Amino acid sequence: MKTNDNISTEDALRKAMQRRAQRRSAECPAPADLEDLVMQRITSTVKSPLPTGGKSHHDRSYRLIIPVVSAAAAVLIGFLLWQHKESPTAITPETDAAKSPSLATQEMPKQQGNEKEAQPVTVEQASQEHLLAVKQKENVVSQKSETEPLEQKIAGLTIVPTSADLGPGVTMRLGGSADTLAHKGVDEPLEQKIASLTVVPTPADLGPGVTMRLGKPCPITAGVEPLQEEEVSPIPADKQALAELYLAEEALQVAYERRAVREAVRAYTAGIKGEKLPKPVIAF
Amino acid sequence: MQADERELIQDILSGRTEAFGQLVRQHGGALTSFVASFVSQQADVEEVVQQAFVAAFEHLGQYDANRASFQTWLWRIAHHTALKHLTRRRQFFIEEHEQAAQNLTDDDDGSMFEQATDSRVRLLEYATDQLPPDDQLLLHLYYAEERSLNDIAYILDSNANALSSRLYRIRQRLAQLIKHFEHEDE
Repeated sequence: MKTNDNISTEDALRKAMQRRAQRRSAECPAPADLEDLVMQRITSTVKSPLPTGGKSHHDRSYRLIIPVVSAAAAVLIGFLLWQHKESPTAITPETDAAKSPSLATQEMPKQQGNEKEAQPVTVEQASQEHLLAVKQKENVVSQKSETEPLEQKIAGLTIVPTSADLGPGVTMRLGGSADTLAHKGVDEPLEQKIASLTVVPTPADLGPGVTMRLGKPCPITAGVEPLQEEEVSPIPADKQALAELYLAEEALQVAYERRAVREAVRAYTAGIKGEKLPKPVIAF
Repeated sequence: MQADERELIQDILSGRTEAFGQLVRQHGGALTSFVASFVSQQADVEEVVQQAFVAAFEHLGQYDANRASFQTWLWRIAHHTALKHLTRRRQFFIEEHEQAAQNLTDDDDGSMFEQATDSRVRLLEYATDQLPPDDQLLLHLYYAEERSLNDIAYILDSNANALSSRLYRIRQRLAQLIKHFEHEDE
């Protein structure tokens, strides 16, 4: 039932809130043992004593309890710790105390590398070394001893017809194993090798247009029998330049790799020392 | 502030912890009513009241009698403690109330209150229960406790201007809720 009571908004709200507060207090009364509950919590949770009156919370001074260590004990402890750290190396007057054992050991590879790299490797030396390695690798040179007499080697050859028998335009080869003439010596010229053979037609005998090859004997046929690549013992003269270029490139690559390793070791040791390396200059 | 109360606080700060029990006896009822005005569950009310008293004991050295009464200072601690407690328990249901508020428009200016009746008062009570706890508390402090906006600003850690604006918005929201409830009854 509606009444005509004209209550203002504020009054209505005030009344409503007061009624509500009474209702809520009735619904949630304060416990009878509130004091005991609070004091139990205070004694069990609050450990620090209250400050004396007048001081604020921020003025409260908290003491940090630290063990009192004498100066001499601190020095001794520090010395023992440092000695333990430096234990791999003997403590001598010459030893730099600032260096760590790890730094000392790290310097050694650098020194070893420097000894090796004291003389820079030239391209020629590298190429010659590589050339030797290549020749050994390809096994072009026979495993036979160099002291074996040539005549004995040639004796193993089959009969070689003369150019007269062959006629013009026919190539003649000296057979036997492909390495019989090559392992006379690395530097021995080819003409000398051929000259030492007993049965060797000269270019004059063969006539113009006739090429002379060293290789396996093969049945004489009307056409040119191409040689297998692996059967050619020395590097042909026209390919010598290419081979040398290849070897030079390989040697250069090796040199670059070695330099990169040196730079890496240098950067690593500089990093340990805390030094700053200058930027590398690119040579090309 | 009463002289007895001031001496009591001085005794507690001097080390007489058991004297704090007397403060609990003096302010326990009012503090419980205060917390119950915006915390719905009884278990939560009791827990918040106890935590508030413990916090007041721990920070008793910070209390400044010149700034506010001990009860006002205690209610401020209780409000902060309740916020932490209810946030942890997720009992604010702010999202729920905000969703309800979004469905209402702001066209009403609250003129319906000019014809307030007992039924409207009851509706106001019911509508207040639907508000967020902080709004309930503001209404309780302003209308039931009849505290000044400066006092309420201290308790709620706000400022008087913001509270005034908030009161206006709460009144609008209440009017809309009442209209909504009245339409449901018809």
